[in-house]
Amino acid sequence: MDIMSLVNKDFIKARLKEGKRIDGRGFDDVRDLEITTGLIGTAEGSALVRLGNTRILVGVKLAVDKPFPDTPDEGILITNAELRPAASPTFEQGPPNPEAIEFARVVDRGIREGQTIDLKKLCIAEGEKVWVVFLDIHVLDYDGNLFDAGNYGAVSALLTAKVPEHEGRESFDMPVLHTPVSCTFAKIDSSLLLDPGLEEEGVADARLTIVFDEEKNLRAMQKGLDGSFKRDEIKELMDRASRKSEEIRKIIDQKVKL
Amino acid sequence: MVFPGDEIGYSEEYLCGKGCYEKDGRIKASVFGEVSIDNNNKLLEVKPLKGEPVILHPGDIVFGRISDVRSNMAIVEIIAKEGEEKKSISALKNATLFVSQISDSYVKDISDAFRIGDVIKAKVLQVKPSLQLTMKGDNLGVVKAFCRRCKSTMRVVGSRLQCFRCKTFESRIKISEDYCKPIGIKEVE
Amino acid sequence: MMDEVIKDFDREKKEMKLIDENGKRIDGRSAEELRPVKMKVGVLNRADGSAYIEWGKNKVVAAVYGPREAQPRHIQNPLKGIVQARYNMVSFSVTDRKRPGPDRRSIEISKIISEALEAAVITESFPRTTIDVSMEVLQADAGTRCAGLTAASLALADAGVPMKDLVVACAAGKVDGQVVLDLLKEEDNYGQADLPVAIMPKSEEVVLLQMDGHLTQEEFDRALSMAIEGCKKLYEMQKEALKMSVGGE
Repeated sequence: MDIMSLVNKDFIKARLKEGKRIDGRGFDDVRDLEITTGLIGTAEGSALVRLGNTRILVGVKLAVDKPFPDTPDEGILITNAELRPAASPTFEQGPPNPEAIEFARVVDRGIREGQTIDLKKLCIAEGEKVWVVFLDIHVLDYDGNLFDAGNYGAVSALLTAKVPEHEGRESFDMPVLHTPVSCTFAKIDSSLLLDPGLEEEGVADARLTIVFDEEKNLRAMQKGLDGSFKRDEIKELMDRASRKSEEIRKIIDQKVKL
Repeated sequence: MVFPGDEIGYSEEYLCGKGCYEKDGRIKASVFGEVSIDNNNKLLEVKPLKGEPVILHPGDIVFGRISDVRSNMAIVEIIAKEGEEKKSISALKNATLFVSQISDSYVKDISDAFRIGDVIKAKVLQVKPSLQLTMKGDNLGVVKAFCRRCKSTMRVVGSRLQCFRCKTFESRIKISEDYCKPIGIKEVE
Repeated sequence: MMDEVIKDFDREKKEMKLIDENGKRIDGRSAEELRPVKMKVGVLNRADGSAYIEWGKNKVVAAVYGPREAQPRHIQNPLKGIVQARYNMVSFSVTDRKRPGPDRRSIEISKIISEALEAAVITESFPRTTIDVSMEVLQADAGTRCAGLTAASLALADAGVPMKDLVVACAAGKVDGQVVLDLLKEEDNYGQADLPVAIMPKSEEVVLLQMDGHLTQEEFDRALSMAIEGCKKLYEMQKEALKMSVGGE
């Protein structure tokens, strides 16, 4: 734990005992969410997400390559995340560290297991040529809760992405089947907070990310940090995430359609 | 408004103050800001319109963490300057605090004042040749201490500190009135 | 196979006309015209200073942290601060996805940009510190190092880092045998020369200069003058962007 968090921990906890978050939000309130798509012309799809002061740019690039031998008729999804030093004084230059890799993998899991992309439609010639979807997540400004911002950006970028024309085949919209939406909670003492900000994240005991699709099926989960959850807490968070993910999906749908 | 490199006066006429530099007999702005002329002292300055790097000056209030306690002084790592908690500190962050600067009264044993890991609020005494702090003055002192046994936060009970968890008592010679207040959090109701 | 591809490309190169009979370039500019440029100061929340630039199709964000204590300690200079610039192209900033992470090109660019900025920053005021400057190229269309450096200088001003002067960069080059200002991607790829230049605009001292291709000495003189004129136009925009950031006109 960094020194600022160590100093502020008790204060944040004392406020939470009174039912207050330091930025005045309710426990289930998401920070202002803004999504702008199509800003990057060199990408086949892109979305700039602002979640409070966290800002993430997600780009989708497509390339043609050989399919994996075990899925000869399916396209390939590759997710990568960069925590560049521009985004935070604590991010360092260098190859992705375990935090960046976990982040990329959790977003990847939500998208992959949520069958966001109909990978079968990305097959060009079975066993020979398929589309590879590169989902690159670039953090520009870090103020907590990358997981959810990454998920909202990835979904928005994919929903607006185009598969380019290739050897006479016309360009078409990215085949999207589902829109999985992620809700991340921080546990601080016994308080469970949706969309933790940077200070809250800094003092959190544990973290739980839950990804629901539009049919309220679970698509991915990730527990993080060295604290623990009771079974009934997990149950509670499931209910809350199921409810909130629907609200957030509406926001995404609305922003992406504009 | 002036921009870095803009000429604002002659070295013969004025002294070069903050936010400017001298070159070839000219005084030039080094930051984006507004010129201020002090004709009494013949001093030219540029008042910055944007942020400024956090350079410590004598009198500044800082937060720091005790990283070592020696026989007559403590080594403090500066965490932040009060009021600019989120900005980088633009200098070396290691400071010393001599036993004579703990309190107005005589301190026999420095270990009655700090333990390694304590967070203190202190005032910058001098910057050059070395960064030195003092805890003399209102509201300065230890702002956060951790239990020697279980490392939990201690709370103020009377004039002493008691551990949240294992209930042991410890004492510190000077405890700040800001003990356990947050640093750098602006609360929204 | 490979030979034919190379021949095809060569033919393509020769056939591609980059300047028409009226002297207009493929995007309609004249030889001495800059692409449209927009700059904004103070775009990020966390950084000590930041700026964003759109220059033609280039989109670059620059962030500054520091001056702050340099780590590890052996890189500290007891007499002055150091500037560590990091130029990075985002993987989706180019047509063919770029593998993330530094390559030899971005390491070289980072080095010369660090040096160009170090010429302007008054580093003597901050011994043992580092000023970390990140440039993230979000979309690239030739001229990203100039766009990055121009934005980086604004980000430094936003952080209030003392400087002798701002730094501003612009390229000139040779296309279809003509010296032109501010090459876009096709001109860079199929032109004959590229000359990126950065100056401190008040003194016109050159702090970055690279050249590749083929230029006569006369053409170089003309290209350098053109690049410096371009820099001066951009400098006016830099000042305007700083004014706007404090609610100026």
